[in-house]
Amino acid sequence: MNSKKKNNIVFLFLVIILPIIALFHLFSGEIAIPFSDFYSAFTDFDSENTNQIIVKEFRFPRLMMGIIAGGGLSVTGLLMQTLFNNPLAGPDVLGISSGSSLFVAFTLMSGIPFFNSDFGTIISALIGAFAFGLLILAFSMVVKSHISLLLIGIMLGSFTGAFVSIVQTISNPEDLKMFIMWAMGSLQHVESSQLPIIIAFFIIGIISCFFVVKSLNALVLGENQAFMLGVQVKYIRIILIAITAVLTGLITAFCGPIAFVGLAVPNLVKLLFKTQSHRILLIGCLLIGSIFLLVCDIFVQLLESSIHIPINALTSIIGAPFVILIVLKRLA
Amino acid sequence: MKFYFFIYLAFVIFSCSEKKSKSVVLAKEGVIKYAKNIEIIKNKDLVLVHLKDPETNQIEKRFALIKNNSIAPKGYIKIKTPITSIIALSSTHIGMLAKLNLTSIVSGISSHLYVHDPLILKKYQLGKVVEMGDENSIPVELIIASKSNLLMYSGFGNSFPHEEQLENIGINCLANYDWRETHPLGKAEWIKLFGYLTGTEKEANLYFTKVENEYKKLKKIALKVKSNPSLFSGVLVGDSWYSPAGESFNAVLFKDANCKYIYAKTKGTGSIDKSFEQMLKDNRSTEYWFNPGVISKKELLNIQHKFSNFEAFKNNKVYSYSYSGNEFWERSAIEPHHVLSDLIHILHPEIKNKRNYYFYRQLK
Repeated sequence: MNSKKKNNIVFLFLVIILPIIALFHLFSGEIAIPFSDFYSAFTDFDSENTNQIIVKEFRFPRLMMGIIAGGGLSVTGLLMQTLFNNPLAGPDVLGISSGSSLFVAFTLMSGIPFFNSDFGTIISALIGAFAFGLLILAFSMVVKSHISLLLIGIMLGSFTGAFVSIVQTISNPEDLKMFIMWAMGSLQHVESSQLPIIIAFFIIGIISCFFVVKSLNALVLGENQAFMLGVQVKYIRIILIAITAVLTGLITAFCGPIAFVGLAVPNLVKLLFKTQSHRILLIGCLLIGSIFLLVCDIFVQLLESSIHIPINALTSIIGAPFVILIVLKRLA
Repeated sequence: MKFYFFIYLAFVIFSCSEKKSKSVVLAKEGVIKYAKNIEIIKNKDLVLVHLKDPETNQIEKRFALIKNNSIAPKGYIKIKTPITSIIALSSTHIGMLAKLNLTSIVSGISSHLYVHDPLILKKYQLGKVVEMGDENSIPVELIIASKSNLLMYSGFGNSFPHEEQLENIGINCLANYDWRETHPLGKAEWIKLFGYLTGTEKEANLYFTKVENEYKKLKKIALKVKSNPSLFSGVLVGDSWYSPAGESFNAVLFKDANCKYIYAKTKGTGSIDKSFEQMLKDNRSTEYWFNPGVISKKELLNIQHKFSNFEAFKNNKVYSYSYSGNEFWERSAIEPHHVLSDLIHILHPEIKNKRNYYFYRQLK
């Protein structure tokens, strides 16, 4: 079987499995809701019916956020891995997610009322992601070695982590509580009214990726080769980091930091599809990333009655062994 | 109860030396009625304090409060009373000392951010009260430098770090498990310990009797009311909603205020956690929402817009003590009758009373 045919079969499988997982996600949860209420929630919503409120206000936004966060973070991971030509790159490894966390920590614990609102948190997360995206970009201009750049990213992560710890110790208990809640990560804080803006930014970010597919394919050969093939490497770097900052900032703002998805999923996609075509890899990341995060969230919900596991912890629990496996496989 | 104390004391007599046991033979009855995590046995010359592990209800530490230079009975740690300087690491400790007009003896606190008492804050500003930090990470030298007689801590599951060394140099460490008491009067009863430690036992006992009588009187009034409104409590933390368990301190208060607490029949003395979906399913039509941890409806909506689905939110029946959180934590343990009074007057408006609330406010 040639690889194109095999890839098509994998795609078909993923396209079928995603709606099934999504449906299962929609039905999971502590409360058993009859199908008729699911149907009515979207066709003939009754604001007095608790089941329909749960479907429309809780489960559907949570499902959409799972798809967006899983797909979005996986795509940003792929972009970073291609840009830095390193399978261990990702928004959380390069310090972009940490930048978001740092800014959210500063603003949430500043005591300024504006920043204690959803809008304030979103703005802070976006500014943090952009600032640290630009910082890593600036370093990338000076530092040629990808390993060194990765190391700088990890250092930035530690640096921001230390600052967050200091801010936590000096902040008042209420603000600290807000930050800890945000830092646990959750898909359930998104509201249906916020979905249109999230979806709009997500679509813009993803469509932008497809405009730079050719450049991404060339970058796999290395920056010099890409330059020889006519890729404006400097501009592409800025575009990729900008897309990463927007998507990471958006997702981190609404869900809190979600670890490992951006690192683990692109590697899994590359293993599955065995291609350098970023058109295929991007679609693969979108599908597998969404499925991965929805499955994690289903586990969170199934375990909810006995133990509450934050989504951020579960993605790490599943993601960390996977990354170790990749490293070991590469060494072998 | 009294009978068991006598049996226990008989055991103590046999385990003590002849000289020491003499003072214990004269022991009177225990002075604790509601608190489950402490026993105080009063005697002519000394007061025996038994701290109980809140999990197992077994005695975990024995203290002998002695006014003179005599030696403590075997197995007891001596605390020479009255103490003149105390490190009080919890808000409730400060509240109880304040009730006895003894905040002047406080030499250390965990953080000024958690203090309401104006005198202690003033002393802190003048550098006469030291901020110690979290009870598990206090630098030992800071404790020694404070020259306190006693360090009172909350004991979140562990003994105090370097406890033995501190005791050797004359600083006793005493865990205060008032926060694990399940009855509001049990929590308040810990004031008796402060009384015996500071030589103000008469005032402490008098105050407690007053609180007890007032609490019982209010409970009786509430039980006479025919209405039985429903309520839920707590707020979403992360993905979990923490509500008081059915046997907890708050659940007892709700019961005594004659209302229908939705999780009154759940087991446990701490809290139960529910998913947000489950909370909405159980409480969408519940009449009152207490203790959401914020002071305005706007703040609640900032945390989660979906809170607006609760009828209590829509009907402006959300009440919080968080307007002055520190004041509540300092005073509520020692003023349970005032907490009960607030609950009764909110839940049963038919009881005519024009008095302002002590702690609670309606969220606007």
